[in-house]
Amino acid sequence: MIESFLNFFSFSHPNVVIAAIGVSLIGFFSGSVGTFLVLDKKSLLGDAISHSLLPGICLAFLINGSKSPLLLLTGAVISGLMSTYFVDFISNKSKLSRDAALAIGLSFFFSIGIMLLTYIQHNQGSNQAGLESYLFGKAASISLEDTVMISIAGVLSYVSLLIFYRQLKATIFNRSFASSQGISIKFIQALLNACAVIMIAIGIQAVGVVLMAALILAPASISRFYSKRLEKILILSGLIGAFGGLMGTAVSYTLEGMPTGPWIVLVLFVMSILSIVLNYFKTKWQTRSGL
Amino acid sequence: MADSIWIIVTASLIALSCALVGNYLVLRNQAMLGDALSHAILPGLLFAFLLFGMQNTIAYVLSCSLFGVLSIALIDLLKQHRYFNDDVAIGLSFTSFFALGVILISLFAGKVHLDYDHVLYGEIAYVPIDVWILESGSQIGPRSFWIALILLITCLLFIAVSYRFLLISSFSEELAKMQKINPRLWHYLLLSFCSIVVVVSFESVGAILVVSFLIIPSSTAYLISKSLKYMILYSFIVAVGSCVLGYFLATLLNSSIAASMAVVSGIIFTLTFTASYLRKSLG
Repeated sequence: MIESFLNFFSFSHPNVVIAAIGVSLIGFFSGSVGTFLVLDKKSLLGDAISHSLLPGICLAFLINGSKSPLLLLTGAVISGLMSTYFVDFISNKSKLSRDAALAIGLSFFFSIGIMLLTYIQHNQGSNQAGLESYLFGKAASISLEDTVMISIAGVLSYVSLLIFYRQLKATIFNRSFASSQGISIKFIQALLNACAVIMIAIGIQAVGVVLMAALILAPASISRFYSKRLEKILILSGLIGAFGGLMGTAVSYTLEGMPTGPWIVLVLFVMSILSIVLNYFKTKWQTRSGL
Repeated sequence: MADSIWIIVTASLIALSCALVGNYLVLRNQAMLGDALSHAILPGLLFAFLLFGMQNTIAYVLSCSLFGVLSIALIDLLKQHRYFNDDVAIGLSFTSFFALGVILISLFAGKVHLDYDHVLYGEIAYVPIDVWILESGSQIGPRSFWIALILLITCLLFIAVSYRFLLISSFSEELAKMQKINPRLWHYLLLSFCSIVVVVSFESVGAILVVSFLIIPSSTAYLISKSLKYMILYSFIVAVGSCVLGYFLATLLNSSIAASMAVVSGIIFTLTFTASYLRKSLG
């Protein structure tokens, strides 16, 4: 078992290399975009978005009848964006808390998705095979084209976040300061939501709908232990996400038939627990030497 | 025809239990904890299957509830750390539990009869098939129906007994402390109870649709009611209404019954929300 685990890191199979690169890129970009969401205290929005992509994917398939990745992606992004507006609208315009709005958006959109998915399964024969892989993710099947698509979408959202970096930073840390500087909070929020939706739509093919939330929120919360500067947190979150992706792919390569997503999540979870423990000893040591 | 009545009745019983505890989750701003619970019980399901076999309902409920409570404890533990806010604690905890569950399913795929579809949207369509036969040989209706009925009665008893305590500790922790009610104790009692409801419902409606049964009827009721008693009443109406209408939607589209019921409840919520929003902004 250890042998094949090491064998993975020799990167001798081209398919394995492509899958590993693809998943690491997903981890990198989701971790980076997630940084802003986590610091904006909207970590669970990622969970709501990832569940809301399903109806878009199914509708795109129903309308067009093909499984062209770009088409399904477009459908996913549209329904993801709709859900972020749905959640924001409910939590802003009613006495329901944001928490309840998230749960409503998540379960409503997801149930529409499941309804459409079962409709397709029962009425359209075997042509739909593979749509379910969006539910749990299949990193091993990531192809070269997928990797290219991941890179393009990732770089685009990363660059647009960097262009508005200053405004984002101001918005996240002090909203009233940001609007006093003439920054349009609405635009910045919409930009951040759009980038998150795109990254999640790209990411769910590797880790699946349910576990995508962890890939958004875990890297940023881990890197907060190691730095207080946004620049460092951003870079570190990307690297941690990429590392999680790589390790997850390695495990699912080693143990045959293992899904990738859960292992990425477990790697990230272990890293957060280790960070808590390390931080605990660090502060203990600091207070002791301070005395 | 008899089959569809069994399905609608069983689903309604489950939806009523979910709506009842869901009211408290919505009031306490803990809706996403319901989502977390519904995912976190997955490893418990696997352990119960592996250790006690398929048919042992009590072992299954206990083991899943244990994992539900464990995940809540983990959330509370993580939350105490200054770098983790509520959202991060919830997200980290339930995804890890769910990931563990999926890994266990893959490891024991041969030994456990449980597939991903089941986890996601349950098997309420098979309710009438599993008939409970007494030792005397007489058939007394589907097993799930009786389980759902017992669940609802237990829920009603729990809420009836603890109505005052839950009411006070949900609205004001200070007031609760003044009246010698321990809000943390009731927090855990409510969520343990909630995980039992989720576990039992899980079998029929799956992990994720439980959330809509928990949150959507009670949120709809919250929009239009001014007291807890009316909120519970309205949430019951929405719950049963979406089960009945959802069943017909499912037969119309030939789609998943549980998902269609959840969709109908979402539509009812959206209509109620729009109506109350328009009423507010128009006058």
